[in-house]
Amino acid sequence: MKKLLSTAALLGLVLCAPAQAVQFNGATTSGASIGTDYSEAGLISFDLDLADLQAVRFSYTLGLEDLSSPLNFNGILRNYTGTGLTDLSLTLGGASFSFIGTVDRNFGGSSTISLNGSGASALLHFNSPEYLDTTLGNPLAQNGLVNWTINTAGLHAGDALSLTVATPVPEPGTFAMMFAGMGLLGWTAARRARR
Amino acid sequence: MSNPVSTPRRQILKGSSAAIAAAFAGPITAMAGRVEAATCAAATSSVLLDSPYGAVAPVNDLTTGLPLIELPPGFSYKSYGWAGDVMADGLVTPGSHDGMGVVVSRRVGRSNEVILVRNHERSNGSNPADIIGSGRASVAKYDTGRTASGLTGYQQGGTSNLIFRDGDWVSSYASFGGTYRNCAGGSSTWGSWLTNEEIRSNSVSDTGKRHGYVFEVPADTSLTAASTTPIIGMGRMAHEACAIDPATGYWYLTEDQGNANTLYRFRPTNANGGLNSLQAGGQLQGLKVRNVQNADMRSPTLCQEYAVEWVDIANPDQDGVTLASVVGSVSASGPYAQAYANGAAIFGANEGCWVANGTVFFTDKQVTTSPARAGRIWALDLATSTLKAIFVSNDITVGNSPDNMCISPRGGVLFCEDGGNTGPNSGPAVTAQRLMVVHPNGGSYIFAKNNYNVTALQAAAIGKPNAATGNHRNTEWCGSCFSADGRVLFANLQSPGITLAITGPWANGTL
Repeated sequence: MKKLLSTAALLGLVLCAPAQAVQFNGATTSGASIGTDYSEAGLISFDLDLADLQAVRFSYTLGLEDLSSPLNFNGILRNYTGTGLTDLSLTLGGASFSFIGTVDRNFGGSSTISLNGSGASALLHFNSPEYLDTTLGNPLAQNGLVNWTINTAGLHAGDALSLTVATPVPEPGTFAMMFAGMGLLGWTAARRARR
Repeated sequence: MSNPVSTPRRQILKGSSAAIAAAFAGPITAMAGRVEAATCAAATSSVLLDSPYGAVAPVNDLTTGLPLIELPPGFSYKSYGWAGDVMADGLVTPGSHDGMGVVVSRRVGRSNEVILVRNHERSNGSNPADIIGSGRASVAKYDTGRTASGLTGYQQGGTSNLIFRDGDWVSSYASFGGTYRNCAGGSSTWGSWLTNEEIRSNSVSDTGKRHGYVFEVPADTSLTAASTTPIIGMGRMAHEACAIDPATGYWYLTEDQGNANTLYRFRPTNANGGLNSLQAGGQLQGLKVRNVQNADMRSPTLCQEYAVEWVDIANPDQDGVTLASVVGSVSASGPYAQAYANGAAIFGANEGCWVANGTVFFTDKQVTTSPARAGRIWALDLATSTLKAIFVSNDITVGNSPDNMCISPRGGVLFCEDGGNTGPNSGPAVTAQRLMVVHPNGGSYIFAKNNYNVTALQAAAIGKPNAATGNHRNTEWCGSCFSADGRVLFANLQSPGITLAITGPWANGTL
């Protein structure tokens, strides 16, 4: 029990019982990007202002209200790096994507999305370099845009969930292997937190 | 991903991302200082350089699919607000797009929003219905009367406001009318645009109104209408651009009156700023070269420097006169005649003006073949009162008649050409006007070219049957300004009257 409380303290939780809705536990990076969280019950949502190409990891704790149906995901990625983005990966720790929604490049342009074998990582490829903003899903309730969803089967209230945004460099084969490993690490951390 | 043991991770705070835009632009604004301390080439005038962005080529407009302009590799653009388009208020977009400025950059909920005010440099005509906002009480109008001589007729110039949100154009509407040839202007630091009439005139309309003044247009005229009271303290003259120094609240202004103009400084009585604060008046002054009466500034060498000071102008609303100047008999505004009498300098025909990093940048667009002159750009260091010629074109291929200009948040110097094929030229005929960049070493390079050449069939196909047709490549660029985060460049093609939003790999060059 003491270990759980100290873990809870590290995560900044103040309730003894699992929260009803998803709780944002912060984001980490070795760069200067800024994330703003807009999550609510049944929805993971954030804005990410990319200042550089360092990966950014958003961490959450799931609540009861997040598990009754697929968990929605949306977000806005803003490119302040000064360089064009050609690829972005979105990697879940502790879950997998069940539905890939829309990707809207606000200034124009197209993109393709591929999932790795486990479905935990989506690779976004911009068909021309992206210099401005990209909307994932439908954070602003606009016509024609559709949220992504996260598979919550087998998850429980209090489980940890993470989503890492990165600019991948390796070849596709290596990419699939690398992000599957990262997802495993994330899942291990979640199970440790529940013990 | 970093090794969690060997690489420290930083917790990101939730909260406003305005800080990131500031962080993005902050370290790079120091580049503006590079222009002042430029290691100029040994040449006495600027030369045309290869662009670090690469050669320009026609690029299709993301809005219409037409190749309206030429850009370097990787850049794209969206057109909007074509003359003749119906605006959000049901009025038709006026033509003659000209100076323009970003007046508000903000986060609205999760959206990034930019508000611009755009000038329409329309002159006068016989039909009062052509006054911008005619019949619409919500559009403030300065002069709905008729001038019998000089600016004969009704004044058809004014402004429209535009909204750009999350990478897309959203709407536009008429915001001010009843003025004459709103050429350039300047953005305040409190969310408004000063729109400037470009006319030296002593005429009075039948409503008792004179012209040649500066007016203020708010970012949202549905909340606060533009004031119809001119900012008389800034002078009655053929105004061009103006720019505020955020450090002092002083404004710097240019005048487009051939061989009878200098750079002006306006020190407002109300130093706090704010909407309509400039109407409290202030002290208008003209630039003078220290220890030199009426210095002729039209033919500097590249990097030539002058120590300068300011002379007072007692009556900013004095009528214009014919002035016996040291350079000949000239038509002079009242403010300039007074400044000249106090020793003010003489420039060719000043146009664009911008303040960045404690420096006032302004253009002299005058073009002559003998002597060979095609335009100058000056930088006034406010801390040292040193004026330096940072761009000297004596050949139109290097840059022809620099008009509106801006400094990017990264310190890059961009100007709009307005010279066409007129002027001293050692190369092939100029067939398209350009957006040009002044390199920190005093040279120039091409950033974009006007490529507008649209047939009636093409215009109809894009749903703009009233759009101008034919070859307009050799018409002027204007209204260049960057978004506060430096990611989008806005600009106008005056004829046919189109507004553009341009983005791309800015980091590849000096913008």
